[in-house]
Amino acid sequence: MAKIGLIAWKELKTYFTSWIAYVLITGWLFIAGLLFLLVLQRPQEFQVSPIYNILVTIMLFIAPLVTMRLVAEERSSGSLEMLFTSPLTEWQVTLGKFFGAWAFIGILLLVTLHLPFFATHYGSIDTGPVWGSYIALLCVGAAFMSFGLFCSSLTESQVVAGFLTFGGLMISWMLNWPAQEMPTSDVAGFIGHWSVFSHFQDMMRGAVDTKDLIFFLSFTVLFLFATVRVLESRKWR
Amino acid sequence: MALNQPQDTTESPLAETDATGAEASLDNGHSPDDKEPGRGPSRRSTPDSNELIAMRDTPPLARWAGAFLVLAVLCAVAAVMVFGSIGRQSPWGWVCLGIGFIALASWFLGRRQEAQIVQQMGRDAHARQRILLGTNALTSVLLFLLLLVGINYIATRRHKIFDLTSNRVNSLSDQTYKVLQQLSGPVKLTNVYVPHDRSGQPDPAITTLLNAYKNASDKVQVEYVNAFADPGRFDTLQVSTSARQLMGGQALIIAQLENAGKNAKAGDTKAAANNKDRQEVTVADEQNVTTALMRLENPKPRTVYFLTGHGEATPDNPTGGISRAKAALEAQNIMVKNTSLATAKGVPADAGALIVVAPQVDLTAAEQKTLTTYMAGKGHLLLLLGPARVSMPHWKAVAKSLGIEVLDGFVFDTESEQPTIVRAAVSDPSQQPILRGVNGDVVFPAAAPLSIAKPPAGAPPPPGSATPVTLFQSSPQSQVVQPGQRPNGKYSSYVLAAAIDRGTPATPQSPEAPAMPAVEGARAVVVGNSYFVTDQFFELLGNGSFFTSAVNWVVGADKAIAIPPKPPVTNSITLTPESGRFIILLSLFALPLLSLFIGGIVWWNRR
Repeated sequence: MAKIGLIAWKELKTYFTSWIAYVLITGWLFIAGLLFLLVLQRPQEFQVSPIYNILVTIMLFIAPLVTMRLVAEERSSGSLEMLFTSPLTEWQVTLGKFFGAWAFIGILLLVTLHLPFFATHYGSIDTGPVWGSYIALLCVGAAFMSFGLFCSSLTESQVVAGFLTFGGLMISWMLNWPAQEMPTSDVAGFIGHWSVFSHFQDMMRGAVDTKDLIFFLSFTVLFLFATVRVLESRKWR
Repeated sequence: MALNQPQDTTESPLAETDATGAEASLDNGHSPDDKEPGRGPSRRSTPDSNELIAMRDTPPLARWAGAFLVLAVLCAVAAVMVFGSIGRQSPWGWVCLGIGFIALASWFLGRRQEAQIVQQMGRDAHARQRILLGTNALTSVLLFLLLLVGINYIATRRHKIFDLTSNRVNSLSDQTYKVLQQLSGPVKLTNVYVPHDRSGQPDPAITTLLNAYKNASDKVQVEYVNAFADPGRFDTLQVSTSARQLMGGQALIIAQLENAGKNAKAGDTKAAANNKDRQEVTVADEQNVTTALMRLENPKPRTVYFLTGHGEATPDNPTGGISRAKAALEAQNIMVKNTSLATAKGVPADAGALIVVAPQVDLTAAEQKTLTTYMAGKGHLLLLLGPARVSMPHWKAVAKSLGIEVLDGFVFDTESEQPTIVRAAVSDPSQQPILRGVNGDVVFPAAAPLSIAKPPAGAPPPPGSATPVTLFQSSPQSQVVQPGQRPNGKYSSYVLAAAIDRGTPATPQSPEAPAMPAVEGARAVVVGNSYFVTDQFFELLGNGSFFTSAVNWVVGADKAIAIPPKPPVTNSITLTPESGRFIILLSLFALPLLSLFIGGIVWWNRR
């Protein structure tokens, strides 16, 4: 665990020693603030869920930027081989990088906590959907980070990794469209079940379902497992 | 070898070694990798001569096999989306499918060609090992995926919802869970709907509600039937005539025991109406759906009688206009009949309750005595009186015998948008079980004021010692107006509906006194208005639910109204101009710029 923690800490520090973290946080805060002000236009029917719904979509764009360099950069610079000469397993490297990226998403969420604070301080709101939304964003963040990490492990090019992540997440988003259009269709429901985007809506209403949590856990673990297999493949390719 | 010579001379020293090794291996009949097992193929920076020949000679299908596979998958996804969103008749879906099949066939042919090339070239042992390891990795990922699919399947069937909202709006009530646990067999909930928009989809609120039932129990299945798009299926559902009348304005849910549904014969509408293995729900909320499930388990219908003979509104009377009320009662497995005190010589013995709606003439003295005697026993009465054009002292006497006085005139509530149409809010539901089943304000057009009669000091308590409870009252800014006169000028809050239960245990006179056991006694609801149950007003706000709740309570079906409606949570925020400016400055400018500023410092220190 200590080794995983060290790698995660190193990854997190890497974000904050470059411009990328600050630019992302600035844009994220600005959009969140703008959304908050938009929902404030209807003070008598104040709802926080639209803010977090849109933030999930924003995360779709942020995820490739956060994850594209995780393995691809090390592979292109040759430092990946050096990393594996140290007594680290593929799982430790993968989990370390994943937790580092996920911690960055956690920081993105942390800096938006002033919004529900304002809502409760200046008004009266049901905080259940707010906490449900944060749980949903953490789950979605974990799923996106693991998928992005997997895509980054497939290639040496950060750009290709970024496009793969974005394209994959877009397809996941599109899988949910038929289910949204036809909630009664079994086929559409089956297809939509495989979309990340069909599993957080209930959470944002304040209903945290164990089946959704297990879906996100499965999605995350699957792509971490696949990343480990890809990293292992360097031994025999 | 002639082909290899010029290429090998331009390659790196490592490639030269490869070429030399290749020549050496060709001389003794072994591959270069066999010759030097310590050298991994990853260190080879260029392809060997055989691979170069293979790349040059590879047919296009084999070269683009991967792209064909991706195209096939994309076409399949596109076809599903087109069929799903536009319809099965769409040619675009078939075009996507056709292209997808061609792409799939091309991929298959390409793979075959590639395999043949590989076979012709002959792979060395290391290549075979790579394929084996690659297949192993892929298989392990697929097996892991299969394991996760299994876990998710179980998680979907056995799951728990943690409702974080303050009033548990996302959860079914505990009583519903108990009812679902006690279901004796599979139940199908069928939502029959008339689409209200071009999407042709049912009401999302009903979808959410039915999914909650489906998620809560493995025994519940859900089906949606578009009455227009699927008339064949609609006919097989054998919807009752009363429910058909309601379908134009609201959705219908049919709860049906699965095994019973298979035995029903198509076209047997009358049998379906009396089928005890199915229930029709015309007000789609948790209370009504759960009630329907309870009645599936205990299908004995109750009978209520509408009184006739005094110009009352009855369901059979086309001018009465209470057909929606009748349909709502029938949907709750309550049989509706008419009776006359004059001809029946009393209230029928099987009457779950006697309902009186808007009598136009007074009772006779004998009828009054019959009703008073009935209510002095274990009578169940729902009395809906409105402002009368003629004096009706006998009706008032019946109400007074229940402790409720009907005053002259009608309520003029200045706080209502139209003062003669009083909109009364539901008060504390813990005060009276009926109110737990009312899902909104109740609108009383032209309501007569009531008064809870106080027993004279020293007088013996009435049977059961129960006193009437106010159900609805007007705002304090109300006056009483007599026909043809101006408002009396005295503002007060007037009772609009009251209930009395003489079966409840008496309140102990002192804390030391033992509590009385529960006694089954008379129950009555008196409302100073009858218009709210007419077809014109029945579906307005909580009118319909108030009527059905009142009837359920009067007939003693308390469980049917035991699920309170979820109180809405008001999310509101109040900002002063200063606090608004503070939020704008902090959220939109200060915090984002602070992040940018810190980024600038970091850059300055690291430049």
